[in-house]
Amino acid sequence: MKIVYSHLLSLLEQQPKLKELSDLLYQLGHEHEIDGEVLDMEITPNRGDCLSLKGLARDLNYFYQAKELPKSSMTLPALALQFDNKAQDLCPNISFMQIEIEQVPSKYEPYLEAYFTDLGINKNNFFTDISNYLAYESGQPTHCFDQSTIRGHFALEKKELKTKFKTLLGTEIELTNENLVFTLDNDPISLAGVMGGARTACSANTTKVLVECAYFQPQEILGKARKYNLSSDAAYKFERGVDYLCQEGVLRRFLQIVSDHTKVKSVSLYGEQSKTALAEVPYDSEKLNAVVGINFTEKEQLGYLSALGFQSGKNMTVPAHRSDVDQLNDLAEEVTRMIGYDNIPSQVLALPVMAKKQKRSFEELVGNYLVNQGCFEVINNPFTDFEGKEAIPVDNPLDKQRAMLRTCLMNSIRTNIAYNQNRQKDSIKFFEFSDIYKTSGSERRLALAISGRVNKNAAEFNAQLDYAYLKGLVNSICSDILKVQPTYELTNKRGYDFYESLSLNGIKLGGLGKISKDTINSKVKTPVFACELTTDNLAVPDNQLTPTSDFPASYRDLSFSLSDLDKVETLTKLVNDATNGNDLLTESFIFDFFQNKKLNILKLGFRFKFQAEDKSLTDEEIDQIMDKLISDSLAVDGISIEGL
Amino acid sequence: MTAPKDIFFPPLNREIGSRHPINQVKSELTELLTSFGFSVAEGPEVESEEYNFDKLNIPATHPAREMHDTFYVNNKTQVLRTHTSPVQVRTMLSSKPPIAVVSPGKVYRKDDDATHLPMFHQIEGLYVDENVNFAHLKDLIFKICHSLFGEEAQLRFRPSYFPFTEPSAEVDVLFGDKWLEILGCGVVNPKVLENCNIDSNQYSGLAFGLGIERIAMLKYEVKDIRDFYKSNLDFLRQFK
Repeated sequence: MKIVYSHLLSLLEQQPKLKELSDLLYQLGHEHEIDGEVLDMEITPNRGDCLSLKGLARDLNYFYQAKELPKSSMTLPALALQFDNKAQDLCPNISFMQIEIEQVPSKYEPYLEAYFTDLGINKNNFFTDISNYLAYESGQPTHCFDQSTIRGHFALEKKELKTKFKTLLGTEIELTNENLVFTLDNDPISLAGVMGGARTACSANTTKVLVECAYFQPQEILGKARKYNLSSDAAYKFERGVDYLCQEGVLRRFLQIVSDHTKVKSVSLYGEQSKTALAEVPYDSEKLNAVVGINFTEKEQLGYLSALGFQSGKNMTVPAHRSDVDQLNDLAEEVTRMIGYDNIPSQVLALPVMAKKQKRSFEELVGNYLVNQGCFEVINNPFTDFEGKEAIPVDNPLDKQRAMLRTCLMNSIRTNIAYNQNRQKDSIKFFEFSDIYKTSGSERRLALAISGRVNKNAAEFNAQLDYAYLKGLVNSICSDILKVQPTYELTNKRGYDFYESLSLNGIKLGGLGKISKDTINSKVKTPVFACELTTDNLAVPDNQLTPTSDFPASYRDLSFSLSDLDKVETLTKLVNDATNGNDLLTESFIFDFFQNKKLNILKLGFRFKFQAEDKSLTDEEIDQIMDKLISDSLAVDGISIEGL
Repeated sequence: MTAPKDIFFPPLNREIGSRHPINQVKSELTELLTSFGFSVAEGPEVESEEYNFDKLNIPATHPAREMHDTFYVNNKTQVLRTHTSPVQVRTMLSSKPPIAVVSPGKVYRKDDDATHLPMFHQIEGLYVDENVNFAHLKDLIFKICHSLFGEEAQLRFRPSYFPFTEPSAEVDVLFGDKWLEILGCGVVNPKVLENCNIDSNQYSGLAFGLGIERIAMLKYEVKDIRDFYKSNLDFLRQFK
């Protein structure tokens, strides 16, 4: 809402400088930007009462003393209007003023003219111009019907509609479902609280007008302008709540402005009011002090509150324009605003609650590990166009491409890979932790994807990230962080050239594989390897410290020849079982792998570490374990050891 | 002395990666707030309207629901949470005061332009105990902002509006000659306490919330919020 500094001053007894006024408006919670003399106000949605000069002046009253603008005090004859309010619950208070003027004025008084020139607003016609100005001045929307068009049964009603409606701006909309409308013989002539219709609109020649001024329940107006794509200042104000008792006063001000410009031939007033009781809020000055943390006397508090229009009694009576105040904390905010939030001294806060000791987090440890391996974390939004079996549709998506919630992370990761491959990034290692949502419930997931060069150094530049690299990362996460050896099973999965499912302790958590290139929107042929796991139930165990040995360790290396690649897994399992089953064999790992497809050579080198807790091991003791391991492995078809 | 030839071999640099800058800031904020005594609480991103709005004093007819511009799912029976406040609701419903929790996480609003994204991150804090007041809130906010922006940082508290706090405030920090909005906060609205089965005559609370992207943009001088979510390696590499 734009207001002009000098216009606001016209409603204040004291005349603050712009900077001083601006600072005070900030103190009161009215954020704004200043462009010359124009203040572009950002009024919070609870303060519909401040959407006008009068409203802001009221809020500044304690500091600068607000003044009332003149309004007609003449005795007004009753208007014999046949008006049928069939929606009293939605519009409890409504008034009409019929005004007939001798002639439309050719020019406006300076205060009215300034509204249009200072704010760059286009004029319309005399009565509509006053209505628009009055909304700016008082915050109360009014609507002007050309009296000559109001013929027939005039009513306000909420009714089911499916009809075309031409607004006073000339826009044609289709009214659908239930709408609160003014009707003439059942035909809608105005979308109540939002916009009038072309059929009954005033023109430059209108000399007899029926001005409507009403209080509509905010919830009835809420969303209507948006529904019909109308820009309506009236709806904006009604949605946020207007003064429910101001109708006659506003119409008298309307009449005053008319009288300032031309001779009034006749005027009459119609009004009905069923919402008249002012709200009351229990008030206790000590409790108010306790909310804020101040020690103000009741007199001091009442000084602020009465300046804002509150009346003290057994309870605090709330003025009709303050629909946002209904409890003591609201009064506390009013007093605090007046004092200035910045002027409230702080009180030291020491939280008595001790933070719970956080267990070591899987995500933190895995994230740190992957970062140390050169991986970068990405964050993707959950929206996708993939209509998976269990996908949850978004009821009001931003667009078709983002109409579903993702049921896996891998499609987002594919997009991330493609984005970077298409920009010639040649060493990509990404991971993401995120929730995914399915109709069956939510899951926490980890996704990991690699593609391109291993590293940018002389030794690894020509080496490509491959499946073994990925599997190594995953193995380390499982065995070093979760302390569980994973098991794999080759299976088929859509979108992958090959895929192995991964289980921990017999529970399938997801899997890893080589992503089919045709599922990545990139022309780069570099293969992409990826893994996605459900991590909901993965807890990092506390480290169990075992005694370390001070006795020397011994090592043995053994090179196995294998007939086929699938023997790698068989042999690895055999070695792992042997290692886990013998206290003296404390560690084993593959230190060499050699394959020459042309010569049909496949070799696997294992290193074994032997160490006892309580003594130095003898060669005989180690040989005994090695002999058993050798005989067990040689018993497997396709495994041999050269020289034996 | 002849230099050993080893020193002339090219070093084998191995690049380290990085956590996402948003998660880095989230972790820093969480660490800071837990150091004050807050525990971390988490909750689902697909939420009920009851926890996302109703219990937070945002009834169906309230204009504030328009402010949020919500994504609805499951035939409008659930929403993508528009703030992390439902986590506070869940905490209040499941525990007794004193309560001191922070809830970091993703939130969703139906926005998508140069300055707004449909998904972003918040960290919100809640403290409920006897005799908690606005002056305590100010002390906490000063501590948070001075930790984030230095002891010399100038703060401005402005009245604002959040249905779940009353009084409510927004806090600006002075950067150069410009005040920038950093966080929203307030005294927990007694209606919210009552909605969560906490006696508002005995207990009061304070709450605050920060936009993590906002802090990250200030910290790293990122001009376009969308850069955080392009997954561009050249961008991510700058946050090691």
